[in-house]
Amino acid sequence: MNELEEERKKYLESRKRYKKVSKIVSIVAIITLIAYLCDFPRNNEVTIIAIIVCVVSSIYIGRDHHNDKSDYEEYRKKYREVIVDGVLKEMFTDIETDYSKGIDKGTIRSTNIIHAGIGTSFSSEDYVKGKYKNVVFEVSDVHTSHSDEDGNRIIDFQGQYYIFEFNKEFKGSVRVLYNDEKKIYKKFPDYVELEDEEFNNNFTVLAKDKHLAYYILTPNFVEKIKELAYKFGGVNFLFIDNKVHIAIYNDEDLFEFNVIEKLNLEKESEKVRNNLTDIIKIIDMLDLNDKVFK
Amino acid sequence: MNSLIIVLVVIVAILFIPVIVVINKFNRMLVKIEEADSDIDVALIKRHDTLTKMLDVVKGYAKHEKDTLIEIVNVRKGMSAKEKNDAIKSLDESTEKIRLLAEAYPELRSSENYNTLQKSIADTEEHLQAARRMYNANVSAFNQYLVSFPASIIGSMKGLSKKEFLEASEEQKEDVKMDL
Repeated sequence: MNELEEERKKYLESRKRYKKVSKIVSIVAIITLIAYLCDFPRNNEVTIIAIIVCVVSSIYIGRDHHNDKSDYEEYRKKYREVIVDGVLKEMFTDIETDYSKGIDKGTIRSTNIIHAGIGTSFSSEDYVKGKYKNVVFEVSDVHTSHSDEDGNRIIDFQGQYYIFEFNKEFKGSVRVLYNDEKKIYKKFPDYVELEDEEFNNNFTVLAKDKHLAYYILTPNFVEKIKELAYKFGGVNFLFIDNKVHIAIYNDEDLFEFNVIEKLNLEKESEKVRNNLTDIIKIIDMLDLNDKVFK
Repeated sequence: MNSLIIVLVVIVAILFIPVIVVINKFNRMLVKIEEADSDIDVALIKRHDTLTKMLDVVKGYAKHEKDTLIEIVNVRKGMSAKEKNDAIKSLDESTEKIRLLAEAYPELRSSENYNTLQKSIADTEEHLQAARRMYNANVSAFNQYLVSFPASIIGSMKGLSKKEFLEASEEQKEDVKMDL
């Protein structure tokens, strides 16, 4: 813990230093540039000095930026080792982590429950795999965005992508999209309408095998999906390969931290625990540990 | 003369196109009902077979019990909605009788074979419920369309009548739970 706090202070000090030096270097470079532009007719000495100062400044600022980033990455890694790993061990079993990577783009793209197609920028990190009540889960942060016609960045998805072992075995796939453009899908041959009017109004179900949709989405399970979706907001589901993929759009990352604030182990652990509790809530709410059929 | 023929053709087309559209919609709905109906047949047959296997396993443990004379109703493809309802009810009763009988044999309840069959029965029940719900949803859409205008006129000309629903008990509406 002390080591982590030391690491945080070290990072903040070096960032402060980098910023200060970068400011000085930038000012020198600007003054040199102004001097060069004001010097008419230009002589060779001033030109050479201006070029050297600008090149050296650029290199220095670039190096500073790189150092700043790697120091941040180092602190981020330590934070996960000290805080996150501890909480994970306390809450789950069979844990595997790779904080530098996430669930891969190919998997997420093929599921079609979040926008991650051609032309979208995709990033995923903080991968965690584990077990709770004998249910295997995987989770990672996912960000996807695209540029509009005016070049503005539009965020398509920012939240968590979960994969849970499902409690039924099945072939085929069923997609359940919350608050999606229903009109687009209504004419699709895959469109499925269930008996629950409220569910039909708020969700879009797509499945080639309609029997499978009814098999997975039992009236009881539909109630659970509604409860989950109303609790978390933007939630989409895909049932495939005896697993359920759940994408939750909440504008948050799993293991966010504030590097400026003094580190408080209890507070930080509690924050991480709260975020990870969503895994438990999903497993419990959807009764994924109920192995009646497996 | 020519323009009169054209006008007549247009009027006939205007009258017939909606009729064709309605007839096609009826046909599509009937196909969907048939598909859902055959799903029920498959699930019922599977449930019957699993239950028969289960009864054999139970009989192996309870050779001398007279209660083992449990009859499992025969099911076949193409049964009417009423026959299906009766068969489902009868299979439910048989399942309950087998379960009660098995309760007297803790060894049986803990055997792997029995547990696998229990899970299989739970799964076939879930499939049966899914098929029933899908069938009823299709029947409901068909019946609603049949009473709407102008489909009601074309429907009665085609001799179509309302389809019967497959009823479900309150227990069947719940998700399957088994004491394993």
